[in-house]
Amino acid sequence: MAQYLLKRLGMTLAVVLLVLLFLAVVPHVIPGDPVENILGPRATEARIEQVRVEMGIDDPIVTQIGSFMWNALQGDLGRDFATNRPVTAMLAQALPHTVALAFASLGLAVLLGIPFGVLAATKPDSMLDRFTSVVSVSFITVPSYVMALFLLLLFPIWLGVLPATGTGSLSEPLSYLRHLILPASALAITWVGYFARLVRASMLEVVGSNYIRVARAYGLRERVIHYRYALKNAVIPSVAILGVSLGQLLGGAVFIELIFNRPGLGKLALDAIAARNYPVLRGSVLMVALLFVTANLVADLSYRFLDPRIRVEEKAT
Amino acid sequence: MSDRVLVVEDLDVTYHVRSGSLPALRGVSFELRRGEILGIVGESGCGKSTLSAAMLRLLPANGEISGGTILLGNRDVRTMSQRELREMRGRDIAMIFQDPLTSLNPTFKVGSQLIAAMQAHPDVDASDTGKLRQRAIEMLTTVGLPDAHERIDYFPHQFSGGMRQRIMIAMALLLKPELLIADEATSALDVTLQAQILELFRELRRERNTSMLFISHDIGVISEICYRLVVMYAGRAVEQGTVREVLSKPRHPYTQALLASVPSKDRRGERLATIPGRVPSLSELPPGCDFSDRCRHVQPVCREPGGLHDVHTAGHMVRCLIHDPASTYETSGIEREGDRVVVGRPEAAPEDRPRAIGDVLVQARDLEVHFADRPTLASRLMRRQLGAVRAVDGVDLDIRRGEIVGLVGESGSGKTTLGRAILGLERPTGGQVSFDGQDLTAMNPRQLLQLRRRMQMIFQDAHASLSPRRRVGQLLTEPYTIHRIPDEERIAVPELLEMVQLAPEQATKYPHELSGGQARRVNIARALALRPEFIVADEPSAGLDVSAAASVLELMKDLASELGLTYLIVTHDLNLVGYIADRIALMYLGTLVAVGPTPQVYERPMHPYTRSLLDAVSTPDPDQTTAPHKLLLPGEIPSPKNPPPGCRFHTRCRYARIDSCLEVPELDHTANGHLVACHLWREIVEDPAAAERAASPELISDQQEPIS
Repeated sequence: MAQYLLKRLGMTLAVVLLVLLFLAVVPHVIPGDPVENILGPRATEARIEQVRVEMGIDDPIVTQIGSFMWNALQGDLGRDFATNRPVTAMLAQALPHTVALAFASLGLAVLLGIPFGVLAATKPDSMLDRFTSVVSVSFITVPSYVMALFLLLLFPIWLGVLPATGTGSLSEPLSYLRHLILPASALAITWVGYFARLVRASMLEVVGSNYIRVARAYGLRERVIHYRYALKNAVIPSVAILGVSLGQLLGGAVFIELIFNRPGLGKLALDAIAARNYPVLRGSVLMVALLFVTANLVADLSYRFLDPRIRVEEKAT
Repeated sequence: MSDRVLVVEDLDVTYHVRSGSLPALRGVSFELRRGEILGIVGESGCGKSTLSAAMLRLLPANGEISGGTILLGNRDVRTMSQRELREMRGRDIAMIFQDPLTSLNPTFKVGSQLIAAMQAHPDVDASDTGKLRQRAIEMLTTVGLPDAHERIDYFPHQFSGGMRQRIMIAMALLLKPELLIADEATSALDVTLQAQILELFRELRRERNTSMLFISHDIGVISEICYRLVVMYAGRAVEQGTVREVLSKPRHPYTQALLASVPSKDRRGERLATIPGRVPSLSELPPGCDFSDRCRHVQPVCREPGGLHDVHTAGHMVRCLIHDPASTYETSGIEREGDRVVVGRPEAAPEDRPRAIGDVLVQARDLEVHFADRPTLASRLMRRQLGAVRAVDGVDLDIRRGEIVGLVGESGSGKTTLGRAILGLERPTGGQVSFDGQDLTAMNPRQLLQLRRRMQMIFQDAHASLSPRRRVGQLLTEPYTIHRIPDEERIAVPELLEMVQLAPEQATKYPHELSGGQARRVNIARALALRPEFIVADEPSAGLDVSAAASVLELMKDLASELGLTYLIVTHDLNLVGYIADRIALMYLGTLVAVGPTPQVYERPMHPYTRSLLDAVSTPDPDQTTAPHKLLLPGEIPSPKNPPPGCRFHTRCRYARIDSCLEVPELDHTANGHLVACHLWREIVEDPAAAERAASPELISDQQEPIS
């Protein structure tokens, strides 16, 4: 296990380094002068020169790339062109909002999707199964931003409950949570559908397997068979895609943060693109990548924990 | 009364499907006494598994017990409530299923599964898990699991198939059920493991007086362990009686044909009986006798509905008009024995045509196939020694032109890898293989492709080796496309089909429309398409019903003499090679331990492994029934990653001695071309008892490494 962990951590590190390299190169491969790109066509000569020096743009490219990566590895992502604040500080401010949003949606997706799937699988082809299947397929097909607009209309505008935009303050957890409900639901909805379908399919497969028949032949209660024996096997494939789903959720968060006006990583990145603010863009993309690889690592490890067969295979090699 | 554990009377089971109702069981009656083992035998589709599921009322959702009674003691299983059923399952009737690999939940430790099975029953104190755990450990020890106190916390995949079946048996015994149902419980196991499990069943019957319903397609196994048996056909019991009676004087034509289609060494040179056609589908049962369409004694009266009923004479039941004195069946042309009609064996077929055996065609010298663990970054960093699986580890084998050689071994012996390596499908890591004087190991892929026209393989899983989206006709011409054979050199599809006795219409079918036997024939036709000289057949009869297997074997024999083919038949089935092979090569952990002409090896087995294997074989012989195996092999085949030093067999050999068996034995010439790799063969042949007394018992290890 320790060896596996080491291997996986090594791979994670390699991915992070690749992302860093990509981010370092990006400003240089975009046609034109990166500084002009950054500052736009109306910048003065003096300003351009100043930024050139600040960015070390006159150094050889390899040195630039190297120093960006070296600094980044030491936790220095440069400063915001516009405000001159350290990028890391901005990230630290934005990160909690995005993390809260992503995990709240993931939690919703799991908490709603898995029971939905199990419910559908207990009586295949029943009315209940048909109903859940229609609901989950429609959930999958609705894009999160459409759902977001719909939710905005429904709750704050028509019903007058729940705040429409902003995040509330972290120091007031209750208000923060109230602000989180709508964006998290909008983002989660697709994944509720996915998990429901996936769990239903794997549940049906497991229920048809030999060991479930054996459990019945030894008089185990249906409840125990379903929720203890079958479910543990049936959630394994879902856990495997948790990591991927978190990545998708982070991507989707960009829209949602924009719509609900939440100052998270997505909004930070979007604003940075509009302003050609490379250091901020680099920083936020790096952050998203870090979240993504961490999520995948955690999913992989929990997968191993759930499925003893994989656990021992690793022990043997 | 209390003597009868189970009484099944007139049992009907119906499956409801979209097109109507299918009668899966019709009027099945039998009874089981305390301490008795009753065998249920029949081909697939005859209702054996439906029967066992009906006993526990575990039929699939569309199945229904539509008539009759199942009396368990004095309670009727049919009228039990769901709650009573649940309490009955596992406590009164416990079931052991066919596939030990999938019978245990992979994500729970075996101990927790055993304990859960006990806790499911109200008469067990569910809270005292310590005590339940102790009970589980004791039971695991009883069924022969070493170190049970430790291994109870293992996951199922850490056990071999044989061990998992023992765990299943332990689970079945935990609640001291009155009745065990073993549904093909030994079918997935190797002969030596099968012999061990059968021995365990026999012990349970002796010591606990457990009654058993033993369901199997293998009439050999049934005859070995059961006292009475029921023969099933198309959902009906067609013959019932003591094993001795039924095997020595089978009365139903189906039973006779079934018995006559089992290959064994005693039938060498004879032709096996093949039953034409297939078990009728439940939706198209013929009127009158279900077997009438396949019976060689059929008369018009057999096809009339209504005339047939069970005929009982002195404890022997048969459902056939020939034996019914009240019927109008014309028995005048049929032999009689006293007042009883004897139908006789199926038609005596002509003897085998002699085959000419020529010079050496295939030669393996010191052949070695090792599969190395792929080195990982981590293993390189830690500079760990990598283990290799020594699948084939120094094999010398000659196969002569026209010869049928049987390569036999337990699973894990490396026999399939050897077969593949001989065809160049597996790159040897050492030694060489030559075909007709040309060294395969020195060839480049193009040369190998050229040569492969002359040697073909028939793979084990007939259905899986046919592409599901191609029709049979396309599948048969595929080899020509691969080898770019011009049209004029091709054999036409109808002709190929005819060679394997399939009708030309089959060319338009897809593989899933074929029966197991037909799929196997298509595979044979594919192999024959290129007019090869040499064919490696991997388990040619595996997964087939007895009669289908018999006809495939007959076909292979005929093709061998017609086309002058040379075969290497890779199998674990000793009855099969005993019947068909000219010579047999016995493999154990990557090495050959004995090679010789089949009659010599079977009549005078010299290697201790050969002796044990042959002892473990079950054949349907009425005089050999219930004789315990004397040379039972302990344990299981060790891991080929880490074979024992010296003679690889010494960890399971009853004759092994410390002074000699830690040296590697060479294949030694005994008499009549029988080669044996054993230091002690002379002494063992001369006086086995003395050789056994001289053994060093400390060499035998009962410890089995978990497979991981």
